[in-house]
Amino acid sequence: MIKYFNINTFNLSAGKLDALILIRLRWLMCALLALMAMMMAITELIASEQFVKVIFVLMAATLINNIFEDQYKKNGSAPVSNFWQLFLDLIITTIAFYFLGGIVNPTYFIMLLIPMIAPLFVNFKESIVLLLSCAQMLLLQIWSPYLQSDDFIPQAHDLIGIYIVLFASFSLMSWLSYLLEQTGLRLQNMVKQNIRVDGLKALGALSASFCHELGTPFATMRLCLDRIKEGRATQLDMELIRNSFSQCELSLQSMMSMGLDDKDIKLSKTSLNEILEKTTDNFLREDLNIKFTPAISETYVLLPKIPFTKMIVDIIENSFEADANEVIISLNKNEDHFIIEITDDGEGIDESVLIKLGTPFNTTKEQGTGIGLYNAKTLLEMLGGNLSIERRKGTTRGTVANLIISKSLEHKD
Amino acid sequence: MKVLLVENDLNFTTVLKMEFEFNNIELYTYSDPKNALTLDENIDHIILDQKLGEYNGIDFIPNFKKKWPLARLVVLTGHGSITSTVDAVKKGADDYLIKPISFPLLLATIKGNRADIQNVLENEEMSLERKEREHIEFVLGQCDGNISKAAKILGLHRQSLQRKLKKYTPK
Repeated sequence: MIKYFNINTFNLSAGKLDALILIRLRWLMCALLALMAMMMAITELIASEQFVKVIFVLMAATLINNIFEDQYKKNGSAPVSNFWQLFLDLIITTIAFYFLGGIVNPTYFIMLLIPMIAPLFVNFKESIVLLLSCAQMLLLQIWSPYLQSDDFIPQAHDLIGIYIVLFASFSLMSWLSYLLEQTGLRLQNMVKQNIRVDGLKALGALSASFCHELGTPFATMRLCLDRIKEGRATQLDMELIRNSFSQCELSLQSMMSMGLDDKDIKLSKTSLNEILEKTTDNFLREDLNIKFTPAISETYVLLPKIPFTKMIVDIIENSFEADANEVIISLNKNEDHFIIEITDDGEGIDESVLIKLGTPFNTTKEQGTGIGLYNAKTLLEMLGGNLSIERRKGTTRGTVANLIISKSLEHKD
Repeated sequence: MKVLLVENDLNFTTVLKMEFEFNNIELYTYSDPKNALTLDENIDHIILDQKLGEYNGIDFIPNFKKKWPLARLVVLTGHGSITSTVDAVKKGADDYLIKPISFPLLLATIKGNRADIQNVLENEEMSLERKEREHIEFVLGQCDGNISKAAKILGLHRQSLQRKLKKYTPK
C-alpha cells in the first residue's frame, strides 16, 4: 500500500525547493569564499587588511546562517523567506568580491549563481528582482579599487558579455523551474490517484473476505433449512442454525467496528507519550499489570487520535486474552521512525495468524473477529509505518508487537 | 461412492455429514488439507473448501489430484472471483461452487453429470433458460397467444420465438 504521507518526494513545497538547501549552499559558498580569500592573501594578491575585511563579512554571514539553521530545525522553516535569504547572499558576495578585486577577480561569476538558482527557490517576480539586483551589484564591482593594474581598468561595457550570459542562463533556469513545478504537480496527482486505487483494492479484498466469512454459515443454514422443509430436521439442526447465526453476527459486528466517520480519521496534534500513558492508565483488567516506559521525551505527532487509541487498546486486549500477566510498553525512536514496542508474557501468538498478518478475519480465537490486527496494520501503513509482530525470543511464552510510525508525522512546535 | 470433504467449519461439516449419511454416501471429513492427504482410501469425489485457516485450499489441488487422479475435485468457496476460479481450474479442479448451495446441487456437481446439474438448477428456479421460458410464456399469455405480437414485445424475430416455443413443447 502506498504511504499516505511523505508524498513530497522532492522537498517541493508549492513546487519550490526547500529553504534547507539554501542554508546548506550558503555554508558551501562561505567556505569557498574564505578559501579563495586565504589563497589570495597567501599569494599576496590582496593585502591583509582586505583579507580581514572579507573574513569579517563571512563571519557575519556564517553567524546569520547558523541562526537560520537553528530556526529551521526548530520550526521546520527559516525565519526569513527564500527571497530575502537570496538577497542577503547577494549582498554578502557583493561586499566580499568588492574587497577581492571586483570584476578583475575572475571568480566573481559565483555572484551570477545566485540569480541563476533563484527561479528554483522563489516565484518568478521575486527572481526577476534578484536578477536586476545582481546586475546592479555587478556594476558596483567596477569601482572596486583593489587588484587593478594600469593595463586593465574595468569599464561598464566590460560587463556586456557577462550580462548576456546572466540573462540567458536565468531564462534557462526559469524554464527548468517551470518544468520541475509541473513534474511536482503531476507527481502529486499520481499519488492521489494511487491512493484512490489502493482504497478500492483494500475495499475489494475486504469484501472478498467478508463474503468468505458469511458464505459458510449461510451454507450451513441453507442446508439445515432444507432439512427442516423436508421434515428431516433434528435438535442438532436447530443448534447448527443458531451457531451459524452467531458466526454471521460476529462477522457483522467486526464489519461495523471498522466503520469510521470522516472526523475520526482527521489528523490532529497528539502527544505520543500522553496517548500511551492514558491508554495504559485506563485499561483496567484484573491480573494484568501494564508498564509504560518512554525512552524519549514528550513527542508530538499528527495522528488520527480515535483510531490510534483504539488500535493500542486492541493490541493490549489481545495480550489480556492471551492470559498475559504483564504488558510492557516502550516508546523509542530511530533515524526515520518512532517505535512503540508492546511486549507481553501471554501464550504467544499463533503461527497461522503471523503468516497471514494483515488479512482480515484472520484469527484463532473462538470469539475473535480477526479485524483488530488488520485494522492496526492498515492504519500504521497509512501513517507511513508498519506493524510487526513476533514471538518473544528465548522463552516459550510472550509476544512482541512493534508499532512503527514515520517520523515525518512529527509535529515540531 | 466415497467422498472426501476438506472443510474447517465445524457446523458446515456436521450438516454435510448428516446429509451424506441420509443419502447413504460414505464421507470422510478433515479440517486440515495436510491430514486429508494421509487418508488411505479409494476416493471418488473430493470437496475442497478454499479458505482453510492459514491455508488456501486451491494450493492443495495438485496434491489431491496426484493422490487420487481419478477423483472429481470440486472447490467450494464463499467468494467466487474470476481469478480464483481460473487458478483453481488451472490447478486441476473439475468444478467450482459458491456458498451457500443446496445439497442436491452439491451432489449433482460432485457427480459431474451436466444434465443432472441443469435439472437441479431448474428445480431451484435458478436457470436462465427457465427464467427466459417463464417470461416468454408470461408475455404470450398477455398477448392472448398471438406469436407475432409477443415477438414484437420481446424484441425477437417471429421465427426465433417459434423455434424457442418448439423446444418447450414436450415431444
